[in-house]
Amino acid sequence: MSLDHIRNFSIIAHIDHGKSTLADRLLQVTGTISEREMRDQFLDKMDLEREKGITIKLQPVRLNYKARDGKDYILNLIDTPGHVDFSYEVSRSLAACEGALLVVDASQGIEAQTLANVYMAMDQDLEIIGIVNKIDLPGADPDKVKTEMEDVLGIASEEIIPISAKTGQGVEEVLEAIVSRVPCPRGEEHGPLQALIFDSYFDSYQGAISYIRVVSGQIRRGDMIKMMSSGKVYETTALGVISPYMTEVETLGAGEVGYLAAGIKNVSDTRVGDTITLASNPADNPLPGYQEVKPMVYCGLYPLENNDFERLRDALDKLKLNDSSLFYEPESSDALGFGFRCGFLGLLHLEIVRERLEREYDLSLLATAPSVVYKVMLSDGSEMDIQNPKLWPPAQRLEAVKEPYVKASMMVPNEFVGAIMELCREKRGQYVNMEYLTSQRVMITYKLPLAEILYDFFDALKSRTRGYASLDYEISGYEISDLVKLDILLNGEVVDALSMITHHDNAYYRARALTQKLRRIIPRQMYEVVIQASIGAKVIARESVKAMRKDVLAKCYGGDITRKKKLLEKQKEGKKRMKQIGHIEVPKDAFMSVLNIEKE
Amino acid sequence: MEATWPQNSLGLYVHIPFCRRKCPYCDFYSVTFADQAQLQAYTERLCFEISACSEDYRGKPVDSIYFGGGTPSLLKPAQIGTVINTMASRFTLLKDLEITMEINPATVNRSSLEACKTAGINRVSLGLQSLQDKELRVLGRIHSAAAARKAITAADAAGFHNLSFDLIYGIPGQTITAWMQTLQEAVSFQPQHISIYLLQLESQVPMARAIARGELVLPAEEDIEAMYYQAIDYLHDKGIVQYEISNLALDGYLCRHNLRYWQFGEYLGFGAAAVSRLGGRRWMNAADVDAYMAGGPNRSEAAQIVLEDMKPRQQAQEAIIMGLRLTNGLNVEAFRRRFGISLLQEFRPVVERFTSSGLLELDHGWLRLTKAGLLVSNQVLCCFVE
Repeated sequence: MSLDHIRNFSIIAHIDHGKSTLADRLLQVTGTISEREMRDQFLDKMDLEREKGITIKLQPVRLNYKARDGKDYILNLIDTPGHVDFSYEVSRSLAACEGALLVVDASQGIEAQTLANVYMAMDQDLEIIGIVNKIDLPGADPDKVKTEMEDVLGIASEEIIPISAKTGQGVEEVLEAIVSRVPCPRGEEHGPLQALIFDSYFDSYQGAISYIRVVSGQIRRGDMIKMMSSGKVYETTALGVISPYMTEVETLGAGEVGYLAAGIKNVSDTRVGDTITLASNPADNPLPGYQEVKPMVYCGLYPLENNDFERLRDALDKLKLNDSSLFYEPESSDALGFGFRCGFLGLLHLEIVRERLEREYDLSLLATAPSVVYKVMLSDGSEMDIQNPKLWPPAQRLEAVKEPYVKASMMVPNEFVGAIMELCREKRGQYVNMEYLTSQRVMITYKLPLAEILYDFFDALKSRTRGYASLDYEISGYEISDLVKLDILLNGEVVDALSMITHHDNAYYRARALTQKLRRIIPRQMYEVVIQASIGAKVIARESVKAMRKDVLAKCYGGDITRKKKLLEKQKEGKKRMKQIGHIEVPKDAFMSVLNIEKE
Repeated sequence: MEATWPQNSLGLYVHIPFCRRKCPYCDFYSVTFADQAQLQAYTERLCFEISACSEDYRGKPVDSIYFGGGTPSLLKPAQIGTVINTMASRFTLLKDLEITMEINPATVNRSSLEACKTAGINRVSLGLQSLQDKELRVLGRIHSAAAARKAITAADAAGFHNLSFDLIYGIPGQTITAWMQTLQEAVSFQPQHISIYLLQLESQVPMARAIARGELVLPAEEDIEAMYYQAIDYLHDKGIVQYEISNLALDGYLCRHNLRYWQFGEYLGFGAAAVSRLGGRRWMNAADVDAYMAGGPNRSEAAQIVLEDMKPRQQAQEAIIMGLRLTNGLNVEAFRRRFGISLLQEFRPVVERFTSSGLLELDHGWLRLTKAGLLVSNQVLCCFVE
């Protein structure tokens, strides 16, 4: 197949604007999957993705399409995740493409992530095909959205394709536009091999499997390949394309997208962004790689059963194979025993990893409150990174602390400008600017501490704007802040896993809110439980859970023994969801409770 | 745990699932009483079920019969008599057997009680619940405190000398003082047995919903605790001694039928929703009067559901959970003989944990809940569940 019959493209959109539905329809219209095989969110393989209606892992698929010009084309679609936590995956997908379908909801218009994604696509010089989706819905106003796209993004409105991914209306036009407008891949078909790894995952039978985009040259099954970053050499054991199931091929040539297996046991040897070349005829230079993603949020993950520590380590090792952005190292807590400090791209990433560990590896886990990475300057002049409140130095050794800030862009109808400004002020935000995209839609930019974004910012943003606001953010740097460590004590003992870092001005409020919340979620025990919050030695809030006075089955006779036994079994099960700290049983959710104390 | 019943004997339970009106705190199976014709048909069906019961247990010795409900006192004494006579024709009723009937004070008078006695009832459990009108109204009972007093006097006059009172504490609006007044007055009638029940509500019953809406307020846990222990101490002074979490009696008047449940004895139940246990199997008749009346596939037996098939280990666990409800507790050696399980070895961590925290005690070969452990016994019992 020559290069001019290949098109490589992505779909980019704000979350919920219909990306996965359009992907489903493209698979169907091109006959890549049959009606019988069709199910919603076809490319989202994980249960979690389907349950949450989101895409987490990107996923390439090959579509065969006979265009109106009578020729056969190969269209390589690379589906992308939509959540801001995974924006790095979007950039990886885009690097393997020449074009992007930009999908905008016909009733919502442009949102914060629409912009962020468009800028990423423009940076990579991709051809952008504008699409207005969901035109079949009652609230749709395709013409208004087209004008908005022209005004804000500079996409000619007459070139924007109105579609309904749900019904299939306009989807043929999209396919034709891909063929006619997306440039065919350029590349030296006979040059030395350069293939970009844009994702990889671990398969227990074949080892690491890499998704690759061949930029120049050709790769053949059996070829000895070399990873350009490490120089390690492997034999290619399988090559193939996904259409939509894995289909083996003999060769992959310049411009093509497919997968490669080479009996690689460790996914870290197939680093995303690395270049594969042939051992016998290596390329001179690697392709431009990706920036390595750094975790933004850390938390401790502890097995509820102490002897599950090794199983947790194995599970993390395996998960890491599919998720290069996951970071972890062993740590221990006085309260919780042995566990791992884990780093994530964001809270959604954290939640997904935790759920996958629990479901796919049958572990029962306790997660401690998430923390960002602080830069702490000590009085002896040294500086250290701290992402675990437990390691916070005592006040007398502290010179200054810096915390990470993000530049947050929020797009809202103009009547909510006041609400957003108020929210950002509460969250210690610094106003940057405000821009009217249209007469009704405003883009507000603030600098905000990342830690504030973690704590329920998005929920507050949605609720104060009746769901209209959209958010995108990127790390902007570190700034000095007046931060203190807040400790929580249960019956006089500090529970290290409950400590948190907070701004001094919020400390009293947070201490009160957190102790009250803990009072509500810690069940009555045989003894009174005193909950205190302190900064250093100073207690600033106190609550108590009174001792349990009654826990009894008053009546237990012949007719209801079975039911009463079930109640006791349930009670015993409930104890398994508790962590024993000293004599106190603490529900495992307590440790995450700092996250949403403000909702109370 | 030495069994207190003759070897190989059975207890028989009869469920009368009819009530004049459903109480707002009750989650037992009952339907609103329709008419005498229905009760007559139900009695006939009961007798049919008893006569048709399996050859396996026919002729077995029986040392207790219990008419529970619902409201068994809705039955006419003659109907009670018919049921007892049918049992006598199928089982070997032991001399001195205990025959209890639960009685709603609003449904009896002296002559009906006398007739019950003639029919064979020799123990009466009066559902007084409270002797305060205000509390009875909150409970939605159909009787007043005056009616309760009248029923007690009538039972006494009818010649019942094994009288038990059911009383409830923890009623919305109830004070410790009011509770102690009820107890004091109850004792003045010189009953042989008293059951004190903490009001416990399943989340779906009407009273639980009223509490959730804030229309009714339960007493504080501290007050409930005080009500329980003050009641036990007070009754103890009057010679009415606690023998189970919620049951107290004069010496020699422990409820034989109920002891059987707590000592893991065997029993057969008749009537809609009645439960039976023999060996490891526990089963239940359909909890539906119409289905019960229609009978099983060949009408020979009631439609039944198997609730549990317990392995020996699970039987032993049930025996622990039930046996620890008794204030004597479990005799470690007797338990080992009966179930082949050494409590102190097999449940060592649980036993050690709770003896050290003061909820369990081990005393001359008996393992029992301490007094402090009684009202929080689920904390202990659930740890014996596997």
